[in-house]
Amino acid sequence: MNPFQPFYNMKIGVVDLSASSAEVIPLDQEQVSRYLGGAAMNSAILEGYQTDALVFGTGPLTGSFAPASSLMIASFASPIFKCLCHVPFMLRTGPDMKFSGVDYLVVKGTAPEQSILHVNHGKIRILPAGNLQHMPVPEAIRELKKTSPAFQSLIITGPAADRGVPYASVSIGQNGSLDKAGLASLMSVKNLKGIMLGGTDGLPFNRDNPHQGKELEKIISTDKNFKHRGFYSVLTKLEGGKDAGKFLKASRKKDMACYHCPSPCMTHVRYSWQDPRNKEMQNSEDGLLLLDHTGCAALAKKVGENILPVLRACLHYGLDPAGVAERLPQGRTVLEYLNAIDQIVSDNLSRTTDVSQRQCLFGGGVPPILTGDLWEKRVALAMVLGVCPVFLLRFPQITDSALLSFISASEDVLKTMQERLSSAISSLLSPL
Amino acid sequence: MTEQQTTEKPIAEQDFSLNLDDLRPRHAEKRHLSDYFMPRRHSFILFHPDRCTGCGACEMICSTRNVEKVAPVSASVKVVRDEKEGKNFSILCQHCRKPLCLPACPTRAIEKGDDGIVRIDKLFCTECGLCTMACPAAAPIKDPGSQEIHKCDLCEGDPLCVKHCPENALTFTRGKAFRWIKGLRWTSQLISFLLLVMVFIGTFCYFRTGSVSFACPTGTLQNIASSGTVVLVSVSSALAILILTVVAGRLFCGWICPFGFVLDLVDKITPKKLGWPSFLKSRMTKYGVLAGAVGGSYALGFQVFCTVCPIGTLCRSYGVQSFFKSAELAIIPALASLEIAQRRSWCRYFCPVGAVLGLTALLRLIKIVIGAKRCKKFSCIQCAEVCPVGIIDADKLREGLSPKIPMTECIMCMRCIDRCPYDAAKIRFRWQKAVPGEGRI
Amino acid sequence: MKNRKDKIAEAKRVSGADACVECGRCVAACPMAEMYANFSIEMSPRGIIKKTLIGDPVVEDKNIWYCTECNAGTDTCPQKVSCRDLIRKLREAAVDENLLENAKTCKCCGRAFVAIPVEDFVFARLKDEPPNVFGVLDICPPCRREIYLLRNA
Repeated sequence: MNPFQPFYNMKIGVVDLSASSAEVIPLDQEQVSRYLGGAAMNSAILEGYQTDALVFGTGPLTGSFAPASSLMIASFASPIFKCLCHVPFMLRTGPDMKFSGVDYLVVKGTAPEQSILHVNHGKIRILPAGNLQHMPVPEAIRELKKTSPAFQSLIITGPAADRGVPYASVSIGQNGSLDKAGLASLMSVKNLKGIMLGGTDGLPFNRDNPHQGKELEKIISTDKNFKHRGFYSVLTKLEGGKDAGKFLKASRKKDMACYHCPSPCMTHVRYSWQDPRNKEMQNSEDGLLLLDHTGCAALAKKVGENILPVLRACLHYGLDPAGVAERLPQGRTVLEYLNAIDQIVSDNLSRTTDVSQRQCLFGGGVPPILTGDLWEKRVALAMVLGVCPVFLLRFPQITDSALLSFISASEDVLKTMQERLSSAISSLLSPL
Repeated sequence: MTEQQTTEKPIAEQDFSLNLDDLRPRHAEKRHLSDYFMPRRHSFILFHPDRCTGCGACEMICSTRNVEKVAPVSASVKVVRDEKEGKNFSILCQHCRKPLCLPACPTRAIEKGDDGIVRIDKLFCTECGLCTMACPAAAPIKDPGSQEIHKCDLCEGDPLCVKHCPENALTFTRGKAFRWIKGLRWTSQLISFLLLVMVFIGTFCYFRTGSVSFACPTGTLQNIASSGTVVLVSVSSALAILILTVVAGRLFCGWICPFGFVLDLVDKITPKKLGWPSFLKSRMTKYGVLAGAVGGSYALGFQVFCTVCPIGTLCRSYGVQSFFKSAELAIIPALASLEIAQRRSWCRYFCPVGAVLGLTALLRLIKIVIGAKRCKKFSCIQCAEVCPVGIIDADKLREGLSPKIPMTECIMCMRCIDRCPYDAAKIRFRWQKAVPGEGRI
Repeated sequence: MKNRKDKIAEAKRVSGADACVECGRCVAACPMAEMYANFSIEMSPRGIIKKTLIGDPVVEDKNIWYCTECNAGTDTCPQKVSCRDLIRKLREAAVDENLLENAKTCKCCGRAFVAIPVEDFVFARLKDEPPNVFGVLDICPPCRREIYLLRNA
């Protein structure tokens, strides 16, 4: 096995929606050795296609024994930020893409009708998705589970994207995502509803390099911030986060982690509420997975204590909470907010953005919990290696050589990789 | 010559086929001598759902052992996530005491070893998946690619998932290390027997009014009924036992009663029970015996039941002369022999002392609860098997519900609490609504 | 919608049934011999392949519902005929025509998950167990796991 690529299938899928064709071809070894993977490799791949192409990629450590190795990166020209963006997707999307037989997926062209991709066993199918048009995200997922081939992970756009709302955001299952760069708008222009990842194969790994998971986890667990985990621990570090935390009152909280992550930064909350638009409905309990820190902080500033039902409405329609927060007035009731959101989805509005350039590069959703250029260096490191950026931001003591050691234990290989990693990171950060 | 021809069939008609009993004979379970005193405690993997974050590291690492690839779908453990409730669970084989997959396998590929591990022998496995069909938790998992069946085998004693769970949600344990309740109870029973039967002869039983300082409540009732007078000293000492019962249930029956001690010893030497016909199995009979004893005492003017009471017989008969001595002693083996039918049959169905304590236990302060969420249900049911008065509803446990344990019948021996490896059986105050394994209901 | 003839042709193609040489290795490996007292050539993999190839009505036949889909037959077949794929396709054809008497559907999700003769075998083997175990066995394994989660977490 090539010492540089223990956790890769070495396959790339190329989907031409206009021609309704999809093929899986071998990945260029030389390119992988040079760029290592992740966002750097995505940029290299994108150069070979037109500007409206999308690349979904993984890193060399995605799916491996490295902690928080859950990352899938979507690289595209953002219609909102007007630059090349790399958006991270966590939960189980990255590993499931690798377990479906491809490491990278390029999507170009526009489909003649609404379609959805299904990837498994190294084969990609373009399936019709006309029946999912304008369906709220949870309903669309139920419909897919009933009628489509089985899948482990799913990214899907909501009815907001179908209507061309600029605040539309891609959702991982029904949980939302960190997409604030308009990937959903781009996908809806292409008539692409989503991607289903079958995830039933496996990844080879280098048996000569036993995983160092335990040592790294010891580093993490002795970190004095380790006890400080969950959604709130990251939220309180953001501007307006402490107040947001106050408003996120829930009857039951449970910390949830992404694939192979030793320190959860998401929290599932159960809260009881009564839908004001449905007077007959009893006081019911609803469950929500909080994973968008910046979005919740922005929303809480406007909406205050009504944040949970409003967030639920955003996820229902596939909307970015931060973008929606820009349009919502302050200090209203739940009913007014829900009506306002319905209004946003049915109107066709343009959006204003005041996100910094370095935030734009990574989609606008990665929480700024470190200062200075350390933030972009850590996020870039994560995006190249295929490890969760929030995890690397929370534990800055994890060095890149500690991560690279998951690929190989050989000194020479590590040295070369270190050099290539530095050059990949600098090329990634060059627009800044 | 002709005889041989008529007895032996021609070769073409003889049956040489092999059936499964020839290829895979079923072995009877080997019983060790120690099993009578201390049942074997095998190691098992315990899952703590409150700690699990759903990261899937257990699936990932298990698959590397099964298929030498990182492939969570090929693991022997399956992480089930409920998005609405926000709960996660890692389902893996519990190595049940009476595995259901074992009889369901058509080729007898599944066996429970001496170390308690239930294994699938890959040589005989045809991957039909009937084990998954039979398992109430569907723990054997069919690999969607190779179609193999993957089932947890505890990694032959050193489970990987336990080592790699970042939250310590999976622990490898043998349950409680030391069954201290058992030791305490036997000691208490022995000391009570020595004191009440051999040292303070005759004091316990009310019958010898002369030297009484400690009275049996049933005897007190019979005495009041037969003589019409109330001896304050005796009543107050009988009250002591009743107060004990109000606080701690029928602790007397399980920890102090000398006849109970005799019954427990007889039980040890008669492991095979014959059972009662169902019309005799009414718990109400003992209240009838109590009513008869008190009514009879009133009617006949002497303490009817006390003459034949086995507890009294034991307390009175050691060494000291007493009236029906030799005939009385026959009561003890006669009633102890009821143990052959069912454990503590005397206590369940006939004992009027137990009846009085049972009525007092209506005012109890504590109760025993079995938390259905911690309980492993069909995999275990040791509590129901070990309960000497048989009041734990095993069917309810199998359905996943907490059974209501009638404290008027429970003799507070606490064998269930001692035996439960999952900390599901516990003592709670009567008013506490929460059960182990759940928060407030 | 394909008609039955096309579906059977597809089944034969997918399984490679035409290559069968009737050697009987699949029958020797088949666990059905241990499961059913009335195990006969009618329900054996060789028998079903033969019936399909000679064109007998096989979609309505109850005999296609005894198989456990274990794939032992395919593993031993020298011609790599997949008896499991053939039986699966025949069962799918039967389900399409609504011939569902022999398919057991899950009480929770409604999907057909096991053939009734197979389930009867499991129940017969578990006859010494208390009856409420069977309540769980009417549910397909994925739904069973979800119920296990709700009961234990």
